[in-house]
Amino acid sequence: MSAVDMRVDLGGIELKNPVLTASGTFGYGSEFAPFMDLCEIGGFVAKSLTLEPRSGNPPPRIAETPSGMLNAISIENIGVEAFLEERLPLLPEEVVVIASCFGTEVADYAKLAARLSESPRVAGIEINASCPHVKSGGIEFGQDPGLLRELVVAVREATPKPLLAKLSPNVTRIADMARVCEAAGADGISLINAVQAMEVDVETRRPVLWNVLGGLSGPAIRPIALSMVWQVARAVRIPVCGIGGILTPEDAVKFLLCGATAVQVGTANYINPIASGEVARGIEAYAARHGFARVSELIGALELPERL
Amino acid sequence: MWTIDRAREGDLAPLARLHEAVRPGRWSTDALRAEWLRSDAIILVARGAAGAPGVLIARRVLDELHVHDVAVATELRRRGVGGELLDALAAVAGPPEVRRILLELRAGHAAALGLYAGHGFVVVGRRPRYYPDGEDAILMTRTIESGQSGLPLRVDVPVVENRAEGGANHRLVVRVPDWPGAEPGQFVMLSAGARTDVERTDPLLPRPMAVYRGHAKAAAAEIEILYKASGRGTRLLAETLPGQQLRMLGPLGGAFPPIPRAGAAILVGGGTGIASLYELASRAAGAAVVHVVLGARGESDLMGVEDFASLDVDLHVATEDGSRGQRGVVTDVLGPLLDRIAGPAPTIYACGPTPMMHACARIAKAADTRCVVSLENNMACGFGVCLGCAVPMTAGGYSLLCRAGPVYDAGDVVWERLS
Repeated sequence: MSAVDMRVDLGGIELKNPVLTASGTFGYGSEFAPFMDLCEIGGFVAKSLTLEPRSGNPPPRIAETPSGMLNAISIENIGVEAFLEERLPLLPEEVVVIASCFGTEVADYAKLAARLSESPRVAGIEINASCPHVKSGGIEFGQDPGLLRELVVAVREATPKPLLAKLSPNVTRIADMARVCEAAGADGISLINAVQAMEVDVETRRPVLWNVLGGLSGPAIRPIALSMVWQVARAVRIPVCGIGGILTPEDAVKFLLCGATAVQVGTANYINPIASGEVARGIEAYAARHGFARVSELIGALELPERL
Repeated sequence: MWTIDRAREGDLAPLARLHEAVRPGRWSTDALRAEWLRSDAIILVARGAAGAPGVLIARRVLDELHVHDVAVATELRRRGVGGELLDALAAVAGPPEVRRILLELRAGHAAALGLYAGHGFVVVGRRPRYYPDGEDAILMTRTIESGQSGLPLRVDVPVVENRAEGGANHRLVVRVPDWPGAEPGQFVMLSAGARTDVERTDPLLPRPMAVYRGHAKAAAAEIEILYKASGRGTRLLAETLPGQQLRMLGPLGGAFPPIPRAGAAILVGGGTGIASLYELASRAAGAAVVHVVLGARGESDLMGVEDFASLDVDLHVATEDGSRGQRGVVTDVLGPLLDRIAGPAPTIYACGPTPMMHACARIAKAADTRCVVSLENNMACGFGVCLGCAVPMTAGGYSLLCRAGPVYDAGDVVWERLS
């Protein structure tokens, strides 16, 4: 083993390494137990939860696009109570679990955060203010600075746990949205959620997704994500969690260099269920190869031209 | 002569009657229906020619399955029905979600104790005076081992063979270390574009493909897969050379209900769907009457037809251009075939394009027989997390094809809303 200290502090959440998995791409965790040791990653963000169980959209729900995929699942989930009672107890004690909240009203988010905070197994709360393919809720909050402030303030009041706000890339000035979250009491910013997108089948002349609009994820969005993480990391003092098309350790290192304290591996979990562990080990190897004693030294270590 | 699978709505009334005969007053049809609707309940039924002779009712509690009831028709006791139900329970719900099966029984019930012990259960406790009449209860558990239920693997597999077989059809053989074995109908996810020696993100998603042959558990198995080079991903797959490595995940999904020994079945395969049916036919060939109907556009598109021809089955072929077998589509063969079969119509197993399976379902309904289909759907992962492969169900809501399917009873699926 190398001597690289891989620990990072993500807004009060102590992680053994900077690799998390993104909400909606890692189920409730135990789905990955046949393939990997859940303890080898820093932690995971569970599928977004609602107060009541929620069924998703009719098919087609997903489609492949160049170096990416579209999805319009619509927050299908088992509901907060089933998560706490049935899924959390299946996970080893040392696995860091961050719960993701989704609602159509500010009060839904606050109630969810309060309920989830009762569990000692929940290490932090992530606000999903950015789902691009549901009729109401989610992105509505993430695109309006006033609503976003109201949402973060309400959830902040509802939970003593570390609080992350997950942002949508579908805004004019991402740094402004991050500043709103910081001022409202968030402990960290996760970005980016999927990019709103669509695809068309010319033979049938129909949209490929039942929902018409979906969210684009995968390596196709990585350069967009990187630019937004860089902008946000320079705009706020709270830590940033970088998300968007990470497949390899090198992809993850790019986000750290651009100022992310941690990263979330997303779509890669579908196509290679051991991807997150590979990314964690690969970051460590990179740091060792480049002579870094602590992974935290990589955060924001981007070599910029002097004119900047 | 029975097969075991999950109870369907139509089973509930007969199962309530079975319970009434064996253990009166415990399960009404309404109570069974309420149980059947619960997401944590598993009701398995043994189905035979003369109805449903056995039922098992269990519930999932955290990582355990609690068996609430096992009932077997009096005339079929000591024939292994109960044991098969318990084995099937271990198979339908394996780790990581479920690690243990738990049950309790009357201390004086020596025959049952022997049955359970013979199926891997060990005594772990005793509850004094547990039953209302004062009898003690014995607690037994069976641990579900990793591997025992065929946990899927994530491995890089070297290509042994990859050759064109006429038309756009290809035959791929990969070598899989520590292969846990697969059941007929199960599939693997194969990286189509990405190989261990080529980083490629377009196409991004792996492709679900049926295991054609190579179902036996082995330390070094050779798994055979038939595919059609039809899109970008499968054309890249066709370029893969022996020695190069593909990323593989599997086996995934559930199995076809087996064809009962001395029973009969009609297997209908169209296009690439043919590949899902070979192992099912091969296992039953010789032991049951197996009619196979294969169809494709033309002779060169017919997948694996010579392999089926070498089995002890009643093989029929239909091609749209008439280049082999009957000119037409598989359903042109299926209808007259059903008419020729004396007695009750056999179960129809269908895999192929959705309109073909839907047509088979309608024919089966008209013939008053069961039809099971193996569906296809868009999916990114194959193991229940992308939630892409939702199948609309007649009972309401969606079922994930990769976990609950790909095999469904035709009547359980809303055909009009399939993608």
